[in-house]
Amino acid sequence: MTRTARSARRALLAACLLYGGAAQAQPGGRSSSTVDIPTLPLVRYTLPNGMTALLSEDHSAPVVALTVWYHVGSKNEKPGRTGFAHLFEHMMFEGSENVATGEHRRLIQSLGGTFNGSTTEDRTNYYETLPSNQLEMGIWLEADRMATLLTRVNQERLDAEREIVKNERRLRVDNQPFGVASEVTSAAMFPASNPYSWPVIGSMTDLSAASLDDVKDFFRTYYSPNNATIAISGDIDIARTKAMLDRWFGPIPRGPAIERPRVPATTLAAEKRLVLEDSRARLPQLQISWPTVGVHSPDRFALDALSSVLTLDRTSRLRKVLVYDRQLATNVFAFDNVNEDAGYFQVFVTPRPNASLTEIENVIDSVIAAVKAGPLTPAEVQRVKNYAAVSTVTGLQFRIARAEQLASGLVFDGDPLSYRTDLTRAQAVTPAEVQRVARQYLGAGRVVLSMVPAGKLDQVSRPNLPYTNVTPPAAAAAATPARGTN
Amino acid sequence: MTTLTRARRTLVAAAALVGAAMAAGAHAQTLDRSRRPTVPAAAPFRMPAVEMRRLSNGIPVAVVQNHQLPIVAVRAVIDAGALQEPPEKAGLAPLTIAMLTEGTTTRTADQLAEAFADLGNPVTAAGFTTITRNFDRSVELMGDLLMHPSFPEAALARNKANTAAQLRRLREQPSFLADHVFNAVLFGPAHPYARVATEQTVGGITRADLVAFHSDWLRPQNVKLVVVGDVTPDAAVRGLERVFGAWPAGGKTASFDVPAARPAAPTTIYLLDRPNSPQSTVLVGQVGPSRDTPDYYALETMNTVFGGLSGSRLNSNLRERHAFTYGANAGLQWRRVPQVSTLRGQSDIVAAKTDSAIVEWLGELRGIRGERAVTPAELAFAKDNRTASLPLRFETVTQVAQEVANLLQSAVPIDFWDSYAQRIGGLSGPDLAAVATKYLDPQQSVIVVVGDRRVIEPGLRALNLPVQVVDENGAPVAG
Repeated sequence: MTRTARSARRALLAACLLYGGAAQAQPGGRSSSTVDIPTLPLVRYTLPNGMTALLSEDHSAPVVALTVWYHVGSKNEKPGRTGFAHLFEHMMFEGSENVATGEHRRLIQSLGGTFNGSTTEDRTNYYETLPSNQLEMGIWLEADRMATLLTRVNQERLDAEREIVKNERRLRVDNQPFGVASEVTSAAMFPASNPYSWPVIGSMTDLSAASLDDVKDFFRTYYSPNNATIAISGDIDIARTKAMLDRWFGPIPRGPAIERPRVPATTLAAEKRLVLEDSRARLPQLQISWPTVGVHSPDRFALDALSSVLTLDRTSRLRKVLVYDRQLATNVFAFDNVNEDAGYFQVFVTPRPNASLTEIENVIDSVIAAVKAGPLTPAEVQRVKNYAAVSTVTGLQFRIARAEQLASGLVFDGDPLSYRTDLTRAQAVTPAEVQRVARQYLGAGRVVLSMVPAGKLDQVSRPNLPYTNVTPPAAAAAATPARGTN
Repeated sequence: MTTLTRARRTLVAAAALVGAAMAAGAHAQTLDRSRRPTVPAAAPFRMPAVEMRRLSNGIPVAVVQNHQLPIVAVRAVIDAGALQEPPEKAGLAPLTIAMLTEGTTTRTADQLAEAFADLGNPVTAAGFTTITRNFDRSVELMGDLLMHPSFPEAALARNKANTAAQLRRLREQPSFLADHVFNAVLFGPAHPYARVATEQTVGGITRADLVAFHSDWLRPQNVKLVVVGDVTPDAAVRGLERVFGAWPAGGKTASFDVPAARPAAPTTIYLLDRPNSPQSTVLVGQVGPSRDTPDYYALETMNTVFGGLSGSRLNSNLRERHAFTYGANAGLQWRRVPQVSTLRGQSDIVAAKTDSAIVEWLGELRGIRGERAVTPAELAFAKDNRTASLPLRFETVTQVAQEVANLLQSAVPIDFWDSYAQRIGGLSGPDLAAVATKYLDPQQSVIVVVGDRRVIEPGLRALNLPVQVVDENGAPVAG
């Protein structure tokens, strides 16, 4: 039903639309020819109540996708009330004045459609793909919950959804070995006052404390048309679609102006070393994270290229050494995670059994030191761009991916077609820039997280350096029987 | 602290504004939202036209033209899987396939990687998706992988070691453990469907095994190709013939004779202890018919009422009504004709409610068999979902390629989808109850629970069902 930020991001990465990258592919490095990147047709306008509409017409399949973005995420929460944006996403599927509890999903499915919603730190979206003749049903459903949700929100439903969200957390976090890795990393990377320091799914204690009034206030503050963007892509008629939007969304009154949280840039003065134990794990893992930049920084393109230079394929620098030459790891993956106001660069390693995390960390450090010392070759930066150009075209297949691209471009870049300019900017990245961002961002201030099976603290990377054991109480209890029986 | 202050200020301002806005909205609102829009009828949906061709050496090629975007998807359906492995070499098939990208007789693995990077798309033995102009070059690389692997010894050693590590990590996952135990108890531990690669079986695989497996099974008679996208059938076949037409005959032809499953037994709970699991992973299921059964349509549609979607009965009960789980679903795992299928549901249940969830689950099984007859609304829901969703199923080039590959993989006639809507449309409520009664039996089901035994065992023991504690391979353990 719902996805929290990390999995949503992974899904988008898989769709390759966030890849960044270039429109220039060079087959064989011999001749350069431009990959033709389709420009999505676009009609953009704003309703009198402030809602932005992005319409993209394409009749090549009798399918339409719509997505409604509310520019609110866990970043808009306050300490002590975390998890709200995501809990709210659940409430949005529990009915509104003219849609009974549970009816939303059954109605969409009976129309042959699919739906979901997702919450990140920065935004929440609700989306449907439908046979194109059903477009107005999708619009009606989305408008009904924007206009009338609070007529159906009650204590009983709130209590039930809280339990379902707790089950979601158990599934994704608590029952997974090292499932808390990303939240302990965020908590170490950002000061507690920074809204990126808490997980999107929030604290279960906070969720339990949420009152019906809290939920209602959240809706009134953030679920207004002036905080929403609707993107519709597929087999539509522009004039008729505009009429549908006017009819169902037009009468919804404008809400209050929204004060956006100002999130200061983050750097770490020094290295933080963390250790996580888990009784259910059989092998260790290692993760290193550096604070980087948000979506508005032009450096994100070079950081993205840097991640690929390190681990894109078997010839990439870090993958080559760790997986192929030294064979210390079964896999390694580097990526630059970009949020609206901040980001982090992460290297994640799954070691071979018996490989030393210390040795792996040494290799990572030496490979990054070599990137900083330079120079990088044009070829190792170019290959990244070739992949990005092709995957941008293949990533436009699903109408929902196009709608999401348009909404994301507008909300974060002010340009629905930013996937094209992003490609151009990524293509312009030079080896020297990749080297510069490595020097600038991959410095001493970082979070090194050693994840080891419970009790195997001897496997921690550089165990003689001071570290903080961030193992949650539940997993610590997990270690108890092992100590008792051995 | 500053964040908190700012947020409080925002909320106060918001509350004031919302009061005013809602008053204005109430005045302006004359729209009757309870009157749902009437939508136009859907235009008749035409299934993508599949053109079947053959290469000169007999390899069937399915081509579907789709010019939405300048892209092409190619898929290879290869009958060289777990059923073709010697039992003591479990893991040989995926290892052989993985080793195809480790070098060919004319290209090293690094040269292959360079070639993929020049194109901007990876190519594997299973196929690729790329821009139209990369089609011919990608086909050539795909052919090189499939036909001319060099299987370097050093790469094999690395792949074996990595596979062993991955197998160990898999056993950290409750879903893998549940799956493995389920197949072992449902089919029997020695059955091919219950076989999994282990560090021991993978450790014993040699380069000679790979060479033999490749020589035996990666042959034209075991291969089918699918091309979908911005290409004509003539151009597609020309490009494939140039590369794959030279693939020499020989080797063996894959067969799909599989030993019978264990006879069904009275419903038993197989409990695998996974200490400190806040949720229990629960599977409930049994053996089903082959993909070519005439009951296929009724079974799938019955399952849509029972557990296939979030709007189905199982999820409505376990998630919506009881909040035991984040989600529950059930489905049919079809295999290539003539093999049997598996009917199976799965959910991750909060530990303390594991027994309650099983009670509800078995109740839903009795319900769909007739205690709670399928209502006209449920029947319409399931049939409408299955037929109205066809445009979404074939929306993109990669989806069409996958659907066609699935038909070829399952040995189902290529015109399967042409009569699909009609077959679904003819189903009645009693048709659904009949297949539920025939195939779903709450008295002869396998229930696998992977969870924290200390927390959940007392409740499970109180259910008046046999409880068998098992190990990671589904074998009974004392206690």
